[in-house]
Amino acid sequence: MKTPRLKFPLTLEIGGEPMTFIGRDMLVGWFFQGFPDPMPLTDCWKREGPEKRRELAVAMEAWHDQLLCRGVWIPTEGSTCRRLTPELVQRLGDQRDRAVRQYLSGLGWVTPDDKGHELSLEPLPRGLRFDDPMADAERRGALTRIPSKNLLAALTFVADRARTAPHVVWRRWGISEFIWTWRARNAEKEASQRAVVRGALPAEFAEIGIEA
Amino acid sequence: MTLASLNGLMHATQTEVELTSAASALLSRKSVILRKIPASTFRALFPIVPREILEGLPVDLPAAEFNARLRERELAWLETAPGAERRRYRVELEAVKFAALAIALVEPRMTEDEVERLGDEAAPLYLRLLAFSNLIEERKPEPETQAVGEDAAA
Repeated sequence: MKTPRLKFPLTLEIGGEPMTFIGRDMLVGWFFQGFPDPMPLTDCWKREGPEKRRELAVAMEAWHDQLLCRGVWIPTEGSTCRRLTPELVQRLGDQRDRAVRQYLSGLGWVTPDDKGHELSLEPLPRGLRFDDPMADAERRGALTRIPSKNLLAALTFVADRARTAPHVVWRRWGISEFIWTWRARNAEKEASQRAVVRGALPAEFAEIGIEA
Repeated sequence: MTLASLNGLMHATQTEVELTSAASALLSRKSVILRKIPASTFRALFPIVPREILEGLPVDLPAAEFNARLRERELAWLETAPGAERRRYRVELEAVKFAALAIALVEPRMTEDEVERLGDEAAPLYLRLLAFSNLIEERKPEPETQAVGEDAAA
């Protein structure tokens, strides 16, 4: 069964006034197009030299801009919405970083426990139409690409957990589904680590109320 | 909820700036339209800080202190750096102004080279752009004060 794609509001302050944009889920392969590997601030990134680290940090900024162009929509005529263009992203000025935080919070990448989590809970108006045929070619290109080493490992892991092929996750899953599965695996791992630390029974036992 | 609109976004993120008389003569117009630029784009325009400046500088300092220490080391490096390196670094820093304006100018559209031709007349536009984009605090006009010194005594 197909999961409905997430849609959520992003409220920014533009020219002193609140303006609400619409964030939408997207396919995993498209989300990770241009994603720097290794990701800045990870252990792998810290092992790189200063120049490589800078290069990766610049790539991360570029990816943030691309992300907003792919995932954030603005109404143009009536209820028809289109994606932000690179110039519109630039026009967000100091609200651009806030848009990135809200978008990643809406997808579940940034959780309520993380620093920078920001999510508007207001309902979106009904009847919005999302129309952007221009993005098709770029999306096709992203979906046929083989991801980089670390990303491929994460993708294979998530696919294994879901008992499906990696290309299905890459080309058919929404990114929020990928993030959810990844987080569920981490929660599971943390629970079993806690159990090992306590010298207790496996996590599955604790979950049903049996503790050592 | 105020749903954003394309027109609303365009209107709220650009501003008309009056030109100085010299710039006005050069461009044959009285004003230009600038749009906001984000801090991330602005930072990306700066040249890579030479390794000698960064070496040994603790990265976990608070931002203000880090910037002050960085500036101190930059000045020390400029005093001792070989002439060619020093010139290249300063020219690249100067070019940030022209590149930022080339990105932000909506009307008329101008390339970096064209902005550079405005010479010193680009500076007031640049400051206006930084203030409009919230990258610096806008300077408020100083309140008029009573003349002091010779004039006051006269």
